[in-house]
Amino acid sequence: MPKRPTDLRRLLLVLLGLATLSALALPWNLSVFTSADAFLAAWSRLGNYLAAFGAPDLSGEMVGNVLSLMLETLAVAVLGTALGLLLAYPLALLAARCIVLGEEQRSGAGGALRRVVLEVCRFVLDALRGVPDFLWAIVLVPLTGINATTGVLALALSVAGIYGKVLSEQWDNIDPQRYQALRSTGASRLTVFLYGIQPLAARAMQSFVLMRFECAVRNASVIGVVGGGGLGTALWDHYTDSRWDGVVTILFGLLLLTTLTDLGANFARRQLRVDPNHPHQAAGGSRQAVARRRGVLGVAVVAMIVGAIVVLWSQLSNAATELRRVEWQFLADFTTGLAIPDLGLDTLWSVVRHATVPLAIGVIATIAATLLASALAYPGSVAFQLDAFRFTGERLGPAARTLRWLTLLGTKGIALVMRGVPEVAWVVVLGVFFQIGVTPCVAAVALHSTGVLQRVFTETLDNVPYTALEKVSHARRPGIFLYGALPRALPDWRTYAFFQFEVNVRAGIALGIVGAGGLGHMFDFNLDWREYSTASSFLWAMVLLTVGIDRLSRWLQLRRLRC
Amino acid sequence: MPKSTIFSAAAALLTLFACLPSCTSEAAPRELRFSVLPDFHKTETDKNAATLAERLTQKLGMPVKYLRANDYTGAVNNLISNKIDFVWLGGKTTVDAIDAGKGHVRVLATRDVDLAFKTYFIANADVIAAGRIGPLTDLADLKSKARDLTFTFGDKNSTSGHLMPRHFLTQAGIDPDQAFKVAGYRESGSHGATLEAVVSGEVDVGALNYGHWEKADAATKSKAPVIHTTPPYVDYAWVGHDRIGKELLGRITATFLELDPDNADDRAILDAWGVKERFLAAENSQWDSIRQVRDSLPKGFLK
Repeated sequence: MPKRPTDLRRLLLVLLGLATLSALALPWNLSVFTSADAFLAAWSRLGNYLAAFGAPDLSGEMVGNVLSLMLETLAVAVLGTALGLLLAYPLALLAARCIVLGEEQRSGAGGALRRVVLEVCRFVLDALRGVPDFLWAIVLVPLTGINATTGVLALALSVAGIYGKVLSEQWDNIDPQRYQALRSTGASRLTVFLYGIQPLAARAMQSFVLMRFECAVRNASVIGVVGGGGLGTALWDHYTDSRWDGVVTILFGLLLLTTLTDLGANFARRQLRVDPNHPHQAAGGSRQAVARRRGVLGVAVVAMIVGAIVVLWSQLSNAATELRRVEWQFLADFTTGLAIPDLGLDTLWSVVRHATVPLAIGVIATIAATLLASALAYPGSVAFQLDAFRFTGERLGPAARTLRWLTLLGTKGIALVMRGVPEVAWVVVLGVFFQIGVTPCVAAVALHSTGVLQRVFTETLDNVPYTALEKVSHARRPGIFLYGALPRALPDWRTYAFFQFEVNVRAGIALGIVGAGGLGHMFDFNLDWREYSTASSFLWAMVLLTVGIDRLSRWLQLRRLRC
Repeated sequence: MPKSTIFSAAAALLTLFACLPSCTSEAAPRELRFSVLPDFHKTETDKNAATLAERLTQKLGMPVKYLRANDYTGAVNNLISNKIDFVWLGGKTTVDAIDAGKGHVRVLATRDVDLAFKTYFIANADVIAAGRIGPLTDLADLKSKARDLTFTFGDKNSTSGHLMPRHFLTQAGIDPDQAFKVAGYRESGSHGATLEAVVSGEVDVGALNYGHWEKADAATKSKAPVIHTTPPYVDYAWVGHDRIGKELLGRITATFLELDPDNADDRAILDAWGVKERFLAAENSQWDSIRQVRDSLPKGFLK
């Protein structure tokens, strides 16, 4: 966090400069705001559209269909996450410095080989992560066909990149002194990992795995737009056929699913928490009780994976049949075509120009979302709304208490909807108002990431020990917030915001295929026009962009906390 | 384990993997599969395709199944990768499939209307009323007005929604990517989406398959009148892959040509496919003009 005012001023200047540059780089379409008529026309367009929201298709057939698609979407997310973790684990082992190289200096061919393995694995993870799941699905569809299996595989690939990267970093972040005792017994590095490193990182790992699972549910609900099954396919079909009543029903189903996941993950987190001093600790904080809760959770996870396989069984075997039909020649042409980029100067220049679009979307949407989420953190915080009496000593009447409850629930509700609706779905709604182009995409990413950031910002705020807040004496709630909680929360907020930036750049790439332009659009366009080598250049650019942002974050010495 | 064992095991695995996809495709098919270009209302397309599958099953005496394609490229890839045996494609995708098929893909049949297909440029009625655009006899007149207009093509792979309107705009000296305030595509691929976007005012001007506009009701047409009609060109076709044998391809062609406008069941299919009278026999070479347009078009939009 910035320690002196000059640092803060410099940070603000840099952000302002970046925002300005980004704003200039994007081809905005703001005609909606240029005249009163255009503005009114936009509202009436949106009004017509939203009128459909009052009349969802609630026929038994539609509701039944949406419910089964919700189940399918959940199954895709569960299986995608599980497969991703399975794929990530060995790669993460080989990408972790503490495991591949260890502490001792290695020289000669063995050492060099280890370093090569390390770098190759890290790059594979970067590549898996750099291509958004949306685009992985586009690449996989010609092979596995339009079905949930494609969604599972696409999610698994992208999730593997994220998990592998973060797990290896979490392991490397463990202070070697903490497992020194084990090393000194002469245990092998694998033993040191299994009994020393992994247990120490387990808490952070669980939390991150859970967080990514939530993201996976959101992504699984729209991956069908590009052939990945689940709610997304139905959403896209109804949207392109202009069956608005059906679109609304599916959007409600989607929101319900993401909300339930959100709440379910919160519940799981409470079960995993082992902070006996926390005022909202689940009943029974004893070690045995915690162990029992963890056991139940473990069984639940296994049950979910088995359930997902059962739900998707016919689609999995369908995809296997589809894959067996595929001609070897096509597979070879397709994959080698996409692997080998065109390095012509005009292509490279085009790659650079189009890379500015997702970058600029990332900058503007992240700055906007950070500001909005900061504003929503205080009204959405349990500590400052419901528990404030614990550190202010205030006594509230029933009216004031009710007002605080309403503020809290209202804010949490708004944030829940913001993050519950995936970016693509936001674009569908906002595109009606802003017209096609980059504007609705920026707004969509900003809104969605506001919801995501609000949640983690509030969590950080609520995790500040109340004893620390009591020390800010003679202050009312806003004062305690500003001088007690905010300074403690800011470093985490900064880290979260920076990683949201990486996520938002990827969202900017994916939204390229629904009107934002830039890298995603150009990749899709070249794929459609069967210019595989040019498409490959854009694909590699996505990977390099992710690598670049990643190295920047390392250089800024930010610790990765979430997706 | 000795190294040689590992190597031979790996080699065996590789051979198996290499063989799996291609080995199965050699035998004569027990069933036929086809896809349809998703350029239209999807529910309707699925329904029409199901009816066609039933009719073809009757006439060919073997099961014919419909496999949905997610987008235009998907329809082509399905054919080339052996997921399907024949497919209904647009002009550009027909040429794409012929090229990607490396001599194994051929046109089976086309509609009477496809030999002189057209694109309509349509504009939002309010935009016309405001005097921002009007009927254009010469497409070049659009140039001075484009700066203040938003424009949409259809699907990026559409012939009537992208390739040909871009071609005619280029011929008129207009670079759509530069000339319009915004020029975009309809990612849904449906010409209906173009019509709807222009009707609602989401975009000011659009280019689409003329047949689709003609099918709309009068109220819709009045909200998005035609401002320009392009010269004619060749468009949609049934396209097949010869891995199922030339004889079977010939029988599929014959079945399409035999669909009889005087038979009620056949008429329903011909109507659903927008055929005026009958499907016609056709040759790959009839689409050469489309290939020429595709290949000679300035490719700035791909870079």
